[in-house]
Parts: sequence; structure tokens; C-alpha cells
Amino acid sequence: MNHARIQVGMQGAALVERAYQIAVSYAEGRVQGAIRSRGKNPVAIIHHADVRRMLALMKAGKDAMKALGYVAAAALDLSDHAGSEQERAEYSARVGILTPIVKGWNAEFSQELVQLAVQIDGGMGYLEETGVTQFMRDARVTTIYEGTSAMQAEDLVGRKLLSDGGEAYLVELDEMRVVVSELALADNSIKPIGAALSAAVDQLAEVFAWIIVHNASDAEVLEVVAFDFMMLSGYVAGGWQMSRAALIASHKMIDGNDDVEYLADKLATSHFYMEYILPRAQSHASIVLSSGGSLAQVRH
Amino acid sequence: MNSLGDQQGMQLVDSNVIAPDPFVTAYQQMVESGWPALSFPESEGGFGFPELVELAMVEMMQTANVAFSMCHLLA
Repeated sequence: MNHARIQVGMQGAALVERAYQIAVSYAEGRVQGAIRSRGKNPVAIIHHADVRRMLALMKAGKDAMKALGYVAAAALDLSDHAGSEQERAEYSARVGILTPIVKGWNAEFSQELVQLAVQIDGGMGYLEETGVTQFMRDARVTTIYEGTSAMQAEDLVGRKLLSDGGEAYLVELDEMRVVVSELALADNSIKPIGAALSAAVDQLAEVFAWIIVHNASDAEVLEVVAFDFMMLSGYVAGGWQMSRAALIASHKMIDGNDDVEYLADKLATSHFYMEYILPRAQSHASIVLSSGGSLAQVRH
Repeated sequence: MNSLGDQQGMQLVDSNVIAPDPFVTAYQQMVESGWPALSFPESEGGFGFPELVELAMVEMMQTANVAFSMCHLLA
């Protein structure tokens, strides 16, 4: 079951990848609109900041989603094959936490990202000419099957956190903090990534503590906030993975690795994730902490 | 094959579910190459690769044709 959910999470990321490649290709060819500072001639739309913004969202998003999926798959492997029974149990608990996040968050985040390709392709995209609408439609089912987003959220908050008092989740938070401390010692150019992750993890920990308290005292509230807690977890976990990527890329560059262009691009993408995507965690955190009292009053 | 599958879809004919022809051939080729057995234990006729490795294969397959990748996920 974990195996299938992780793969459905990966479907979202894979569809974003496919749509992204088409969007880049389209944007490189489609000429429209001048850039004031560069003169009167229209340019390929890939030069327009807003198109670059959308492409970067897709790129950073899919990188983070894929990385998280692979971490979950590795944990699944180790839950079966690690040396000791205790290690296997620890990895099994890790899979338990990561799987609903990978399936739930990846699928939800992919909805928006895959549609950006339609936006970039404009009328041509919408009218089926570039094929991107198929990926939008293909992605639409990923939040539905193999357990809806609500089910993934319920699994994370109602089952996993309840079953062990949050112990496995705390282990994940600790892992994130290791990366924070490694970044604090890293090259100055990537320290801001660490700072952003640190703030996000602190906030996540605060919200997590709130959830644990309410798990004990008010289970109904949890149903209301579960979705946003899942999304909060996803955005921060994505930031954790992009931070790890930045650390590795930075070390490789310092060590004189040849692939400078790729590594520099990885760093840039990680920076972008922390600046443009990670802030979404804050809105989900606010929603959880509001306890959803207003929700009960809304009538339909 | 990806847009063909999108346009043609699956057909229900006399209680049989018919996939577009290229899907059938592609899946046969995939099976012959051994890909579905990638992460099954060698004792069961698989190649014993980790889930991590299978996921990399699955990612590529999904990027190419997510509908086709469901043959593997559902099997």
C-alpha cells in the first residue's frame, strides 16, 4: 500500500516534469511582447519574468516532490532490509509518516504546477495544440485515487500521529534540524537556505506540538485541520530536501566537481524553493492554529 | 502512444476491456524485457532491486505515459 501511494505521488511529479519540458520548449519559441528595458522588439516569452516565475515554480516543485518520493522509497526498502529489527521498525515508522505526505502533498501541489504549463502555452495550450491539457487531466485523478487527499491527511494526523504520540514525526523534525545545523556551517552563499529552513522547521514543530495536544483532548478538531497540516508538512519536507540538495551541490562545487552548470542550477533552484514556495507553509500553519472554529459555522 | 491513448481511451466491447493496440504491444515488450520484475525478490523470479531503483524506472515511465505506467502499478 505504501508502494502504491508513493508511486501515485510520483505520478504528480512526473506529469509536472512532462508538462514543464513542453512549456520550456514552447516558451523558447513563442515570441510576444517586448521587454521595456531591452528595447522595442518582441522577445521569446521565456525572457519575460512572469513566464520564468511559472517555469521556476514547476522546476523547484517537481525537484522537491521527486526528492521526497525517493526518500520515502528508500525508507520503504530499509524497513524491509535494514540490519536490525529496531532499525527496520524505525524505518517503517518513517515510511508511515512520509507516505501520506508524498501521496497527499505531491498530488495536490501537482495540480497547480501542471496547469502552469497550460498558462504558459496560452491559447495554444488550452486548445490542445501543445498537448499539455492532457497532463492537466491526467494529474487530476492523483488527488482522488489510492486514497483521496482527505484520506491521506486523516492517515497522517488521525492514525500515524495518534498511534505513537508523534514519536516518528519528531524523528523527521530532528532530521530536518540536522540539515539546518549543517547549513549553518556551510558556505555563506547557502546560509540563507538554512535560515529559511530553520524558521520553517521551528514553525512546523510548534504546529506539531499543538496537534499532539489536541490529539489527546479534541479529536474532532483534527479532522478539520488535517488537510492543512498535511500540506504544511509537505512544503516543509520539500524545503528540507531542497536544502539537502543545496548542501550536496555546494560541497561538490567546492570540491571542484566538473558539472558546475548543473550544480549551480541546483543551488539556484533550491534558493527559489525557499523564497517562492516555502512561504506557503506559513499560511497552512496559521490555518491549523486557528483550530477551524469558523468552519463549523459556515452553512451551504 | 500517449495522446493516442488519451483520444481513444479504453473500449468496452462485449464485456471485454480493450486497450489501444500500441498499449498491448508496449506492455508485452516491457514484460519480455523483465521490467515488471525489477524489485521482486530473486527467489520469486525477480531481479531483487530496491524500491528506490524501481521508483526511478517508474518515474521515467510515468513521465512518458502515465496511463501506460498504470499497467505496472495495477499488475
